Amino acid sequence: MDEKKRHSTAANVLYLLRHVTRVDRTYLMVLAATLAVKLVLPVVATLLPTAAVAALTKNGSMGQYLVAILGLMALYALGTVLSGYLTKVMGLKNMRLRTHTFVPIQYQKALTMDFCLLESPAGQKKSATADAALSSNRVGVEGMLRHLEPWLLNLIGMVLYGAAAVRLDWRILLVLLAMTGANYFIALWAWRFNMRTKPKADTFLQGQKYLRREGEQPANGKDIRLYHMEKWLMDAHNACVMGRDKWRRQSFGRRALRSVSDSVFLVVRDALAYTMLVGSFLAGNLDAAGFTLTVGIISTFTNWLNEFVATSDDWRYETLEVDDLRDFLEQKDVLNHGPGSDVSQVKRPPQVELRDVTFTYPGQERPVINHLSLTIRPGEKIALVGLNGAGKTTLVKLLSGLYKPDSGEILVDGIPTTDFNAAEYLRLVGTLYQDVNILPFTIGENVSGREEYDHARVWACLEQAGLKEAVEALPKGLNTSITQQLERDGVNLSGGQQQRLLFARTLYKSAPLLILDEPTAALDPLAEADLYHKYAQTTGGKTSVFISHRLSSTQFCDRVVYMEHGRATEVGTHRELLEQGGKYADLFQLQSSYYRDEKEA
Amino acid sequence: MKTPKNAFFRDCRQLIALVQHKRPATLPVALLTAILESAFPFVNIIFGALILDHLLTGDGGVMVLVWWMIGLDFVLGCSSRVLRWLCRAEALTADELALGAMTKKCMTMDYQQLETQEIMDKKARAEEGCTSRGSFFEFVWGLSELLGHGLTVLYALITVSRLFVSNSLPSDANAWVQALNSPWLALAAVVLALTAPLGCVPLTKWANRVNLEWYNINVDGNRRWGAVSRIVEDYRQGKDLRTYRMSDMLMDKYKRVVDIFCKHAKTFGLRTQVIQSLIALVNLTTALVAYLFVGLKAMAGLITVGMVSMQVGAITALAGAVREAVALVGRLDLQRKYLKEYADFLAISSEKYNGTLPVEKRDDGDCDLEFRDVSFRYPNQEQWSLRHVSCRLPKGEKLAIVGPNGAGKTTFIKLLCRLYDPTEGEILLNGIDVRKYDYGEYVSLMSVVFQDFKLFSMKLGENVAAGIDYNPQQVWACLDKAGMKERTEKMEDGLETDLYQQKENGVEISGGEAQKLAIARALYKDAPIVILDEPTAALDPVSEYEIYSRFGQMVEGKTSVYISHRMSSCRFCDWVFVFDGGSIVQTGKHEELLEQDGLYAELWQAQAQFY
Repeated sequence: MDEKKRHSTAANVLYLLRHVTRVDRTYLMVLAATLAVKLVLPVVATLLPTAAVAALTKNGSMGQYLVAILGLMALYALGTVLSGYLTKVMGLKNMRLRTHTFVPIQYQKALTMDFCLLESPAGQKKSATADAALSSNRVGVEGMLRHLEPWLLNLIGMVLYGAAAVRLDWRILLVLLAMTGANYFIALWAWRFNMRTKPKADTFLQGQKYLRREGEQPANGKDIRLYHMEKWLMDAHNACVMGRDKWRRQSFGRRALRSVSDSVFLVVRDALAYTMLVGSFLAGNLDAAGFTLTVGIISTFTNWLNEFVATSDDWRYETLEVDDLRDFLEQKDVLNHGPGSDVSQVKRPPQVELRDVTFTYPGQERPVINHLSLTIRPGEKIALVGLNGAGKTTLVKLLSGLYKPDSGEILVDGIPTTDFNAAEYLRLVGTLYQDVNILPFTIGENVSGREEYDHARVWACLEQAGLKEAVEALPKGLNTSITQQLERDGVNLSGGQQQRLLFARTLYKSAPLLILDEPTAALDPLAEADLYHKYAQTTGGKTSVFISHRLSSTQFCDRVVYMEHGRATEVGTHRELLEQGGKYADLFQLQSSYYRDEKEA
Repeated sequence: MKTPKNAFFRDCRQLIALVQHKRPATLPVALLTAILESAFPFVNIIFGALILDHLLTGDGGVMVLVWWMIGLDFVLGCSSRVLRWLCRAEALTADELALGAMTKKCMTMDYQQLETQEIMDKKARAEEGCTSRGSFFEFVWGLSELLGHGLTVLYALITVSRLFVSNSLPSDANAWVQALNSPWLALAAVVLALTAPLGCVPLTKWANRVNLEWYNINVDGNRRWGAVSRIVEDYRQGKDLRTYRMSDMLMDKYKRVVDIFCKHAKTFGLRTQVIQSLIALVNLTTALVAYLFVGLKAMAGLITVGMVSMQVGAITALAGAVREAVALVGRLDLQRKYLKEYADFLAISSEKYNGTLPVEKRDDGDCDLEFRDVSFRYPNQEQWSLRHVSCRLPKGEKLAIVGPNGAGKTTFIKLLCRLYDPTEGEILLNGIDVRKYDYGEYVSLMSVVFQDFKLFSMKLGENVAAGIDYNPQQVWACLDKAGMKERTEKMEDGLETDLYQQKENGVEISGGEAQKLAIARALYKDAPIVILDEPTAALDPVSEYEIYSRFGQMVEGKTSVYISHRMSSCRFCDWVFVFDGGSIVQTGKHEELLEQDGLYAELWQAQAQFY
């Protein structure tokens, strides 16, 4: 895979700001106001003792003292309230930017990009890291935005106070700069260590999370108890904790070193500053108030500096996460997303032709689909059979328009599928996938795919799929949510009911090309026979492909396609293939032997 | 009012004991850090003032004071910062171990309890109590901070005590100078300075209430948000979302969830901000009082200018420490309540009767298992899952169990494994109620492959042996019997291969291969009773045939139970039990049952008609 593109921190900050300024016009204004207030506030804090000392040493009147203290206090109070309010507003803005701008951008990409990219190991990795970049307000995008204000504030503060310090004595500035430099390099060193060792440390964390999640899962509790796995799993968990503990000590040790280096520089700074200040005071060049002010300025400067280095350090981590997000968003689709042929000219039912189709998963050597050619006639029912790993499910993804062949082409009514717009093509196919994916939304929404739907039609589909009675028995009917993830009063469907619901969804879509991948695996014999029957009833006027390990299902199909190593090696009616005596016949004998012996006996 | 206070100390002791048990160094390090950190500010408060005074009075030896200040700053600052990192490392590890203890609890508690909603809710609260809402790290840190604040108060009071010492004034001193000199005024000023932090207590409580309200409102929204984002994050959903054009609906739902979330964040966030501002303003009065009183005193010549900064520093530090301590006690009390949920979870006691009888170890594996009028319903359910089941497992023979979905087949197995105890009736092993046996010993009699068996993302060999120490030869033998040997040999690391992608370089295996591994695991355990629940659901006809033909050999000499929807499996079993509606409706040999006009014949026919 290509190397991930790295952007500089500045480039990423600007990238985020470009999005920010487009949706939030007041963002920069509020930012500027916050900065202004927060810059003035410490000045007031420093002036307060200075003014007190000035009034006291210069024999000012009690009135002057009172005015100075009260005035500064009032100013300070105002500043405190304003800065608290503005900080809150900025926080809310940043949060909203994540939830309403950046997360939707990521979701939109995840929901529209080519599924073949999303599913690939590289795509999954990218999508996981992009998720992480938006997972909380402390990391990635929002972290970076949140740190914009303190970064700027501390930078400006450093410059302003640095200018004041240099007027005092250039040597102090020198020490402060050396301190910044040392701070920076130690931080960089700690960061490099982190970068080098974090992936390993993260595997310890993931290991812990994995073992905790799986160990606490009630369904897994059966095996854990029956096989006495507790010790095995807990030892593995604690090994992960200790692995992380060791790493944390190393990592924290490096950060602690920064504290030590700071302390050393502070000694030098204070030694210099006080020697100088005491000297000039004794020489009469500085009064008591000036002395207090200068001490205040120097210690405040150190704050600015420490914070600046700390924020820059945070940015160094966050910019990598923003890179992850950008890398995810910039993935290039391979399917046709431009204008394409008109799907409405496809006849119902359509003819589907595979012409010398070959497909290999990225990163693998052996093609899963290998020069496969096959014509499915309009309205024909095809049973697709073969051993695990023969390429059946991959063929489903190709026919469903989620993948595109590496070579060869799939033609629907003579039009290559790549000529259609990818999203438009999906209108033609109704696929019941092997893995059961039901959304935690309502039954009606699951069947129709939208929030506003045709109730009568949903009921009709549920009836056809044999789920109507069960849904009618629910108090909220179609508005019943599946699982309790979203609604507390949601229900759990049994395996058989889930497959019926998915079947109803396929019926609702009523696409001209129907593909069912192992829809009966979880069903008991009676339910299985019932579904075969329903399937045979409802596929009239559609071109359909049915996949099952239960070979009995082939008999209500027009033709059987036996797949092996990515090719259709035997094609014909059930009877023809049995007579032919090939691999399909062997397989059928194998499975039916137990039943057939009985009949013969 | 006495009980809650006692509860506070008792809980704290209990929680401290928990931390001490996990990481004994955590608390001492935290306390030491707090002691050093609380002393730190006073170095500058005291020495800063002394330096200023020495300068103003022109006394010598200023630089000696400067060196002392710098030296103490260095020692205290450096050591406390380093210790703080150490403390953090200790406590974070303690937190991780604490979470692990919950997992261990889940693995060892009664299975019957684990599956209930009540325990799941308790677990969710316990987990939240020690992660998002609090942690042992914060708790320990809070305790040590409390000590630190106590010390600050002490240092500050010692410093401030100077204000109570009256100067001997000339008798012609001005009336207001005399008043300022009075120790009573000093006392009044200090008390006045302290009213601010104490006055903040109701404000803080108000803020906490608002936060709690916000939190409670958010619980629901957070759950929805989590549910919606899980859908997008699960790439597998992508197929269905695209094919059935569900993305727009999903985005609409997401927008609605975060709209509400942001609305609440704004309302409550600004409301708490108002309270925070009020608190900040009230607290400013402390500094104001300090400056006014101390400043006036200095003007009257009662104290030196240096003393002004020292006393203002000390009074603000005093009030600050009181303020923080009050807030901290409130926070600690909340933390304690949250962590208590955790401690309570760990303390859940077993409900089921657990006997002590050892299981007779017999070489012939002779176990006689009998159900005597057993009925069972799941906790909180009205419907019986099993009703009046009486049967004896045919010793040393192969039993097939069939029946429609929901007939009670898997429940029967769960009772047999003592994952649940019968609601009525009893199960007997060699004539003795199974509850009287030691649970660990009892389950060692069973090798089970559940329908939803679980393999872990660890080494293949460890998975088969269900432990880290295994006998490789035996593992290979079991893999061979289960038909997984060849595939394992092809893997580069053999038995040392990591399974699944949770591990880097982990190998993905198919559902069929996983099923074979689960069978190998059951064989490795070599228990006298072998139970397979739907072991061929994910297998293609050839693998299914392999399992069928090996089954006899795999369970030779053992009592075995085979549950399946594929009726063909009954052919190679000695006996068949037919379940329907929670009862055994037919028993017998395959041939006999086929003769009868019953459910068995119907089920058989449903599948056999196609062959």
